[in-house]
Amino acid sequence: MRINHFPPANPIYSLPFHLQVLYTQGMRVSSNPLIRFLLMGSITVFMSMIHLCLAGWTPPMEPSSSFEVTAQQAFKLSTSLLWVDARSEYDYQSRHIPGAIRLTKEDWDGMLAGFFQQYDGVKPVIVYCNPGCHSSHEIANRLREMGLESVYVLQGGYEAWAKR
Amino acid sequence: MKSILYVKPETLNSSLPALMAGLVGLVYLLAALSKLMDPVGFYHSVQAYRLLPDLPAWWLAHYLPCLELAAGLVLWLPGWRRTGAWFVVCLSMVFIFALGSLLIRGMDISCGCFGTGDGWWNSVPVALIKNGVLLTAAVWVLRKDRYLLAKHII
Repeated sequence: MRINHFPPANPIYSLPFHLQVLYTQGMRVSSNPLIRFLLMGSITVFMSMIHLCLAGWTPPMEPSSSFEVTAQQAFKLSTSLLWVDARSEYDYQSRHIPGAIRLTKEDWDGMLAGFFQQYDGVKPVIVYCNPGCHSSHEIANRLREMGLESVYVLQGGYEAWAKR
Repeated sequence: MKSILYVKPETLNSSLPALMAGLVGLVYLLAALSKLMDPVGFYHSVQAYRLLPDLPAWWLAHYLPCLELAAGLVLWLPGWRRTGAWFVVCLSMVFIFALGSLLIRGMDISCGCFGTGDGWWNSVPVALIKNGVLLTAAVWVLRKDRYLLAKHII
């Protein structure tokens, strides 16, 4: 008659044996749905705390906020500035600020020539995208790196302009 | 003679929920990774919803991707599939509430679901449809698993 010992009689426990015990016992202990929910919740809170420790517990300061203009400020200058739309083709075709030209990081090289055809070297440039996106800041930074001085980002994106 | 592509109905019946859970898990993993790679960008996306103050938005921007990552991984574990599916149901309902509030307030913003891009995949209507599909898939997995557990198939 074969007797299943627990722990096995063999003193050299193999790794697969340990893994199997860990898995089966773990599955047995956590079979309660509530315990599973709490377990997953605790693990994710722990993971996010590690992530927060690495990134900082408070939100970062906006590095380029000094280059942002509000929709009201832009509206006062709207006759003498160049609008740059950093959104997708779909969003641009749906609606855009009159006179705005598209310039995106995805097709930067192809669209840059079109931008310089419109840009006279004097007008301030205001870049916008959708609220919450980063594209406008990236496009504005690229334009500044090319030597353009009066490049700004529209605070609140297109929505802010539409609701001004 | 049966084709080599023939799959027994009972095998198919027990494999489909696993396949569906795997697909939903994959979508969640991709969404989580795109957010974890750019936490500041996702923080700006959360801020744009105008539902939370800055500090809770910053914390949520770190917690949500971890939750999505855990749900996505758990959906791949056979014994934990139902737990993962319940998480997807809860998360999808929260997302649908947040996206619905955007539509009600008439805000057309980038949803931040898959990074900070402005493409159609991040538009609010597409995000709503996507969450509806994920919610339906998760509910289907839960119902199917319940049936299979009752019949002692899994």
